[in-house]
Amino acid sequence: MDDAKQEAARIGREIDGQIVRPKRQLAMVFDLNKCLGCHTCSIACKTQWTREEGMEGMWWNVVNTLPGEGTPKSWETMGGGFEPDGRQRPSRIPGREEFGDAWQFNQQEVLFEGSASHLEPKNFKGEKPSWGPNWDEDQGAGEYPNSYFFYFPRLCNHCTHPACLEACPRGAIYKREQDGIVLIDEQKCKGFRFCMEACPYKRIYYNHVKLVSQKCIFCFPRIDEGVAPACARQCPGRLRFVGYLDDENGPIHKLVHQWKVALPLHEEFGTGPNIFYVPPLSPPRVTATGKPDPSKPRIPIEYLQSLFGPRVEEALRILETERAKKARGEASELMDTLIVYRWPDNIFPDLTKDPATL
Amino acid sequence: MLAKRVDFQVESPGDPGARIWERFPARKVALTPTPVGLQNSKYILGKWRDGDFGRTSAVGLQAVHDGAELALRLEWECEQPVASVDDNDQFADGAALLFPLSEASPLIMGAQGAPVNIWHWRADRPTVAHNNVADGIGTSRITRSTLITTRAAHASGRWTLVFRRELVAGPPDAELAAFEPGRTYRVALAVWCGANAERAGLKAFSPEWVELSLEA
Repeated sequence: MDDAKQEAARIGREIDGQIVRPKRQLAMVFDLNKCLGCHTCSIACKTQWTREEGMEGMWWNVVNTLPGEGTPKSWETMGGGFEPDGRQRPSRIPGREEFGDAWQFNQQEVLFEGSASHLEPKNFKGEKPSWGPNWDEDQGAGEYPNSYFFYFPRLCNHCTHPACLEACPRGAIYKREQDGIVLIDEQKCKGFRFCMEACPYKRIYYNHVKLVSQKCIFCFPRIDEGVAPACARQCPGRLRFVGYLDDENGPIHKLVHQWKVALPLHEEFGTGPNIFYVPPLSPPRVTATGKPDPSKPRIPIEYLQSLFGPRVEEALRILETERAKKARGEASELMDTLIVYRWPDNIFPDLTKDPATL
Repeated sequence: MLAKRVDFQVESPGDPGARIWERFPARKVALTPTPVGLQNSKYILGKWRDGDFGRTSAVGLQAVHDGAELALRLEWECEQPVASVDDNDQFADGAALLFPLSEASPLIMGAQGAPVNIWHWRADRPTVAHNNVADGIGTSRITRSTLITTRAAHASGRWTLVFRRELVAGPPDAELAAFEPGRTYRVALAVWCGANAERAGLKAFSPEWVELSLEA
């Protein structure tokens, strides 16, 4: 079976009768065991790309807490993507309140006029917000002493089979041949928002000033200069690997294809996402008498399977085995890859240029 | 239909409620939903395959000119007008006039080498229509922004809308319909119902050309 057919088998369908694939595919791997929920990635992206009018509520990169409803609220239940037989799954456009939008505060009244004593947020309708871009942060699930949560960075998946691209009636969305980055051509976009409907990950925003849809651009102007995306370069936890999926010496290939410990989110959505996650290990549950029960992880495996599919159990087992090896002082290529001894060479080997030198 | 020649200095046609429009009968132009099969997006084909869009069944069309400027008035039923877009899932009402730029230009969005000129009004930008050129489905692009002035009103469940443009709005080129008194042209219409999330190819349109003669 050639590559195209393998890919067709993997995503379960062909595109317009044939598999259209870029020459190479850039991808990211997030090691969730290292994410500390600091939001530096989100701020790096915001600072670099979404500071203009109309972009106030945009978080092309967002770090949610799981279990949780996320950004936009309850996005996992909205539909979009493809059925196993290849048909597009109908969906809807998330509203601004569901995304969280950008709140306005009554600074004038509190700080200058003295007519109010407390700062109060207002949403775009001038009402008290009912949701925010990270409303359920640190909430998680479970009961003490077995409560749990983990941080979860999300951005456009730059899918192999982008539902947004296929939904646009204007051909305004394209996938770059040299690296598979999915982009919206704002000259062609007329703001019809079918892409926002079709994307099952709900990572596309609408700009109410420019009247176009906008999303993560994988920092393509930085990529073109050999610089890593802002979210990855700024990450203090150094958990965001970036590279080409076919680079057998690079960390992406090692984690996704060789060790098979990095998994796509909701593969069943059928779009072939190119953002992969190393699932979170967790401490054992605690019994009613306060003793650890090593047979049960704190984060229920069923929950992780609902995100990453059936392969997650095996991925966790490999991680545990290799971690134990490393703890015994034995060699582990997997642990060495995840540890990232040399930054930036070990984490985004093709994109090591310091942007300050450009 | 005939666009009568009148003196715009005496009777201004700019307001859709102006008295001038009471003097000339409206031509009822039948509309039909765009065929589902022509939607060039698999997502749209799937979600709207039942064809629940483009229910506006007719537009009343009137036209006058004064030798320098053309004014066209449209009137159609719209029970739930949407004139502003505040949230992501809102879409404004719209209407458009489509003129062929060549003898062979197809009514449905033109074709390569046979483009069409589209005057596109939307209720959330009420005073100016966008001048578009298209040479196929999904290809429309805005070429000039301030050539076509519009004024609209919604009352008693109906939109009324006037487009105004100079007969010759610029140097002759492939992007602008041009008009001359004493000659006959063709026009097609489309209406989008924002409350039904209609945008792009989800619309009601006139499946046949309407002949428009400018009185000499």
